[in-house]
Amino acid sequence: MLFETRPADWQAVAADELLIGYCLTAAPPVTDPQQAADRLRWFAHRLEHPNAAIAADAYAEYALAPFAVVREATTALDAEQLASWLTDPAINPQRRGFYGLAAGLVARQRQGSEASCCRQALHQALAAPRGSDFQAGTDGLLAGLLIADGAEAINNTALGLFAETASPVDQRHLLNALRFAWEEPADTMPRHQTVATTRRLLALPHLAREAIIDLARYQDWEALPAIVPLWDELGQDDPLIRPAVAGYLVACPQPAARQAVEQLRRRDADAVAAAIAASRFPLPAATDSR
Amino acid sequence: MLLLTGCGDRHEIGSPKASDTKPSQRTPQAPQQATGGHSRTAGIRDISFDDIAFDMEKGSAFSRDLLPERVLALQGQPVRIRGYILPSFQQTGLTQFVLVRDNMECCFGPGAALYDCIVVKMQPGQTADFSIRPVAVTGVFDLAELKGPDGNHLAIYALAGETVR
Repeated sequence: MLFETRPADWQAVAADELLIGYCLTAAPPVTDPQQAADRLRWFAHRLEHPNAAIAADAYAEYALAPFAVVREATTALDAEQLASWLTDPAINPQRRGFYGLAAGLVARQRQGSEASCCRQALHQALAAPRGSDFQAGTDGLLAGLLIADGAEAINNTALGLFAETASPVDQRHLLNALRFAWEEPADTMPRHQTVATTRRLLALPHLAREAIIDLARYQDWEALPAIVPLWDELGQDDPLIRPAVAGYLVACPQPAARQAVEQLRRRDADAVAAAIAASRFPLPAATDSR
Repeated sequence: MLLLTGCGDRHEIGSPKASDTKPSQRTPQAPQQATGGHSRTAGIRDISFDDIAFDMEKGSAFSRDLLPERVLALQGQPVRIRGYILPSFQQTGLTQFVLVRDNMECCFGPGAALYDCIVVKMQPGQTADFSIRPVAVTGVFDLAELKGPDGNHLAIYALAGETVR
């Protein structure tokens, strides 16, 4: 290992016997998926190791692992331990997301008290008092609930995600969780449920743009009647909406999309041309430029 | 991991800088001149968004004289950089996309510094698939100012993409 890396890449790390022993006993990376899961299980017991370097390294192993490997390695995670981590304010908040995912996997894979304690911990973590509007890892907690209980779980959290008082930040976390669900349907919920829940986000002005783009990527062309009106309803005030609508219509292969574009062109051809051009690069900095 | 858990310690949330990868995962490298901390594999220089950041007041106008020498030196160089693909209208067969430092999950909506995004145009015959996971993109780095219809800069960096993993 030492002779495979260049000196410029070496970093000096203070090591005690624990860290040295950890480095010497950790298995090298493998490519076989089953072996990878076996290897990852070894790190499960070191995620919150008292030695910070060991804990960080073990966490990095999970961070780098494909989700399928993480799923297989979940058998090594202790349900009660996970549940306690989720509700322990001393745990690094950056880890909440992953522990939420893991708790969801445990709830889905196991029965009885192990499953219920993880479910309960997920809900408790979401309902916990918060010091600020942004809570790191909320997307992972929500994804964990999707893994555990599917789409219906979203309606049963303390966050009230679709209530008038819902936090826009939490709703953005939900968007992220839904994107995860789309990529991992076998572990979360059928894609039609992801699509249906994403459609609900069209009603939220601060997320409508992202929802439109996601629905295009999901090829949900049945959402067209709900999306086209947003050109006027939200597009007058939000310059990012019309490029999103235009991009959706351009991506949609159905004749109704061509007709919608033509109707919009008849009203304002320049606006449609500008929106289509802007849709080619949905740049994050676009907001700053306006 | 698949989900970003905030703008905090990126080393812990699935998008480690190339120089932070575990030593056992680094690719064996041919002897190269020391580059001050950047690894290099077969002529490809591993960089991060930290390497192309520069001082710029939010909302101020961009000009090339803001770019430090370390950024100018990357022009025309083959690099590999990790980031997130900004969601777009296509799932597969992407010939162009925007690579960003993070998925801005912590931010209250769209908005990022100019140096935190790269416009990637894939080489002919190459495409990418969208994923919420961080990806490593290799390609030739360049400065390419992209302006909107109002004349404001939308992006300043470009990458002629070769691979996306």
